[in-house]
Amino acid sequence: MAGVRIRGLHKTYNRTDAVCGIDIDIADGEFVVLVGPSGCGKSTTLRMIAGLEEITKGEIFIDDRLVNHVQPKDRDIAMVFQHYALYPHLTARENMSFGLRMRGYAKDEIKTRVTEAAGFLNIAELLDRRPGQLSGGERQRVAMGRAIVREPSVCLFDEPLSNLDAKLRVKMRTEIKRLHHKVKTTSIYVTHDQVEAMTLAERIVIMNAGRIEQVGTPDEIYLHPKTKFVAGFIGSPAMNFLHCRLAKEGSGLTISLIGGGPLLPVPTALTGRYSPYLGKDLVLGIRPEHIKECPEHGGAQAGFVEIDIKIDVVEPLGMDTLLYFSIGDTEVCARVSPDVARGPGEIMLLMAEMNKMHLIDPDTGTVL
Amino acid sequence: MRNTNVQSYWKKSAPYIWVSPSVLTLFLLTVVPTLLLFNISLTSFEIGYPWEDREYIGLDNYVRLFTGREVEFWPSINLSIFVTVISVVMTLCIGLAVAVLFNRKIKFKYLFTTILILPMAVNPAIAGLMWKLLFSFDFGIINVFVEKYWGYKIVWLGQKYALFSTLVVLIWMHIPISALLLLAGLENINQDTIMAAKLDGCSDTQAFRLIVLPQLKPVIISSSLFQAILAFQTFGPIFTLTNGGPGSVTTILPMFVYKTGFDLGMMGMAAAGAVVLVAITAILSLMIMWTGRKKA
Repeated sequence: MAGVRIRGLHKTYNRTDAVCGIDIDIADGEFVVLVGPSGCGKSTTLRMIAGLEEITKGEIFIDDRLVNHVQPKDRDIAMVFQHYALYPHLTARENMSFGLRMRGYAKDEIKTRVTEAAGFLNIAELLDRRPGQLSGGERQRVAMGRAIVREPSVCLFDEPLSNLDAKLRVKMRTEIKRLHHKVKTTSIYVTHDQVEAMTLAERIVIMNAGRIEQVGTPDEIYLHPKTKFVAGFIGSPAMNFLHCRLAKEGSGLTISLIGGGPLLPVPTALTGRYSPYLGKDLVLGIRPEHIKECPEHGGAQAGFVEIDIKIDVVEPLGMDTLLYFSIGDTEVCARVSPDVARGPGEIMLLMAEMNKMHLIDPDTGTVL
Repeated sequence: MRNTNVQSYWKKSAPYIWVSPSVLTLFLLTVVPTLLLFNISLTSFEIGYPWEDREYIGLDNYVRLFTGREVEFWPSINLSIFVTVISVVMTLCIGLAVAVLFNRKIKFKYLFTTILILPMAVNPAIAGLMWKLLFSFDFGIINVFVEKYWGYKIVWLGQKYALFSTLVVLIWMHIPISALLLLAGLENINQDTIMAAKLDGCSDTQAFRLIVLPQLKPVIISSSLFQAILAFQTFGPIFTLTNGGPGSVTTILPMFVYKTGFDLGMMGMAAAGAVVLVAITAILSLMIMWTGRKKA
């Protein structure tokens, strides 16, 4: 196992910057997820770590060894690809043992490793089949088996679950997590799915347009986003954003929504932080799960603000119900219990948890 | 009820009705001439004698061919096999090299592709004439370079080198189709499998040998069989280049058929040789179909 260090990594294609100077430190045995929208440079970064893409500028260290000019086969890296990349003319057993055979392992050793990996991944009965005879989930498990039998220093995952259906994706996510608990290999996982990122990662690296927006644990990213992009990318449904302005209200501050809506008092604990931005145009961010049903007028808990809304659209999810309504011209989403949700066109009393709100500078995109 | 039965009948018959004009045309242009050819091969028909005077001699022409009484028949078959094997192997090797080169990102790819497919645009008989000029002892450009660097000229279409020169022409003509088929095969290979192979410890050569070539196998087999058909029944370029000579050095089976029929006038015998050629080509075609079905 080994740590990975990336310093000032750049990748340019025909004068277009795909990766614009990123720095990441990944500890030995850590599971890090690179997440971001399509085209943000996460797969390119992964391929540069693997040695499958040339580096334009910067340095990559694996276990403190500079690997910029080291061949992929000599980096002791295994990779699980989006489209499995299994060798179609070989059986599952031969696919899994291929890397070991190329490296000259003894037959007994190969057999032991393949059998052990196949048992762990529940593919023992599939070993004599060719990839064309396997389902998507089975192929992905064989691909994972091919990666783990080599016991590499670093394991790379390039959107391995993208081609699977939703149910299988959930199942395979658990398999990957279980695998990492067992083998504890340093793992770098690329996905565009923020749910995968949140459930799998020990740390998340959020990328956008070739740059790193934020690095942190799932909780840090969720509770303390540093930019509007991160705040809006993580969380499903996405965070609500409303244009607003800070005004003085007695000894405290109040948020007035541009486009109409109720005045929202700023919690006392946050007054000091936001005072310098009095009178400035800002963006209020609040997650749907932090707007919930209020039992009655005057019944809001401490730190919550009551708001009367007229429901536009109702989306029942089973466990929760999403309510969509408008404040001014902005569509807002709230997540409520299905027991209390009302229908479209009805008036309902909600409460917003102001301690969980974020104010964002619209010019810089940073969360204040 | 009756209306439903009529509709059902037309629905089932429609594909056959639409395809029938093409099938009929194909039948008239291939099967019927082959049957007529077989009919002629059972006779002693010769040029210069009336068609009505022909005698039906059964399989006598075939007996004469296969027992070696027509002394040039078996040598022409052997030469055809030799030319086909060499032509297919060389076309495959060079075509694969060209396809691998074109599969990379190279500058001026469209220009090189145009140059690659030029031989396909040249009529086979014209190709033979063109190369005859290039191989000319006195003023051929090849001998200009040979004489400049080695101090002597080569009789490219003489007894010693005629077969070699013929093979050069055939390979030159068939490289484009081979390269294009193999390039299509290479482009269909998932590039991630090659990257996976590199991570698994393969060098570029090993990845090509162990991962790319096996995936290319069906295309290689189909392309080889197709090239074999083209090579076996080649006539035009050899006719204009060497006319099967000198002597019978380049007399492959199609040339034998031509010489027997038009030089010697023995049309019945020539037809028998042509039927043998058709049978061999049909076997190769069936092998291509079998390969395609096996892959599916």
